[in-house]
Amino acid sequence: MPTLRPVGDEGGAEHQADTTATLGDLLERSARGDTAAFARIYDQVAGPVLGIATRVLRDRSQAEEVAQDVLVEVWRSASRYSTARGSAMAWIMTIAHRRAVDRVRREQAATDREFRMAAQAESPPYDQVAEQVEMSFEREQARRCLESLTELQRESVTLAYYDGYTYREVAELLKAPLGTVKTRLRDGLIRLRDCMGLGR
Amino acid sequence: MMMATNADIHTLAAPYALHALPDEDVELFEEHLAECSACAAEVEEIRETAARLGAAAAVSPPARMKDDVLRRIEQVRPLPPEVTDSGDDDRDTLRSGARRRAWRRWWGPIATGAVAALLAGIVVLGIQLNETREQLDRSQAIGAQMRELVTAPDMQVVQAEQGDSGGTVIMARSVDTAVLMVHGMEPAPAEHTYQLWFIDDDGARSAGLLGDTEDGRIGPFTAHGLADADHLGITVEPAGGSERPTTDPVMLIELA
Repeated sequence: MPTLRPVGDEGGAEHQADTTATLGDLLERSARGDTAAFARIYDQVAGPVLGIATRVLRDRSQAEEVAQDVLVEVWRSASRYSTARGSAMAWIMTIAHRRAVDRVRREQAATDREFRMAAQAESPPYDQVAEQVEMSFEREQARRCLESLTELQRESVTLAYYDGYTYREVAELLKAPLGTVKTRLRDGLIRLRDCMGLGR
Repeated sequence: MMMATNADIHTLAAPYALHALPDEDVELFEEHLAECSACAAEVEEIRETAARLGAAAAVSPPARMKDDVLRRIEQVRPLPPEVTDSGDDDRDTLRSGARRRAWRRWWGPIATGAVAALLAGIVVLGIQLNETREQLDRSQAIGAQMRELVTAPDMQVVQAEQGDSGGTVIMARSVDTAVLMVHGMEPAPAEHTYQLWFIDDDGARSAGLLGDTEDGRIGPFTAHGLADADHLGITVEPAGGSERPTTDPVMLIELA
């Protein structure tokens, strides 16, 4: 009995879209030039990638530029991902975070402090953004886990990760010694890891 | 092999993983990272955690963004895979999967270059069952336990050769036991002993202290508690043994 098959606009022969493919599997296919696989990667990661870029950069249009660059980079360098380096999601989010942070630092170096402050003033702070963001298990879990940290741990992690400050800048902002910030950062991350069930 | 001795630089793993190091410190830390697999494992772990934080900030991208990105990638050729035989990056050499990563985390020194080379040199062979039974029958060391092991339905023999030394493991998960014989071993240094480890996703568990070598041979040595171990490792430890491996393994055998 003949079966009807959708006409693929991406030209790949064999994607009988199996819904069980992991992000890692999709990256592997993507590395071979499979644009349909990449489209599925996009669907899974575009939200998180744009999300972290937005958190770090605040400015929505800059964040979108960075997010697009990150996603193109994921396509370009998919072959460089290896499971030995951790989960595919962590690999992608690491690229996203680094790109966003690089952008912030470049802006700073370009003496655009005023601009950045203006952008910050325009952008709603985290809690107000929350309504627009996707509700998800991850979100709830992260919120709960962040709440379980001490204040200094939470501030250190948040300023470093979500706001893209260097740990020296974090120390300056928190009026805490460098060593303390490094320790709080590490302790906070360990606690988060355990809280999120990532520990072994 | 160099291990991290500078406690201070080690504490840069967290800021490094979060891209919170100023450029000049990044270089410094990356030099250290190349030699500190414990740091690499920590960086990796932190990035998994950070990815969750990042995912928690997810927002819905505008629909046109997908079109834009898909249009852009049409113009971009994916990079070819890295061909990894040049040993240019220790962390790239050990890329055979998550399990290996899991025990590397617990056994830091494994991810160093020399050990990667050692791993590459190990060839694992299966041996015909009957042949093995004959060999074992000739061995004077067969006890009741050994018989139970050898007759277990899931008995397997794993052999690893590395240069002039090598080891044979007879194992059966159903009886939770592995018997090890090694040859071509130098005697352990004075005040030191060889220690055997079961390695699994949860780390390295001691499987006992191996006795002295005789003509370079050790064993048959019976070790209980195989469970889910995916490797056996032998390290040199101070006399009396250690709770955790403190040195690089001199032999690693991948279990079936």
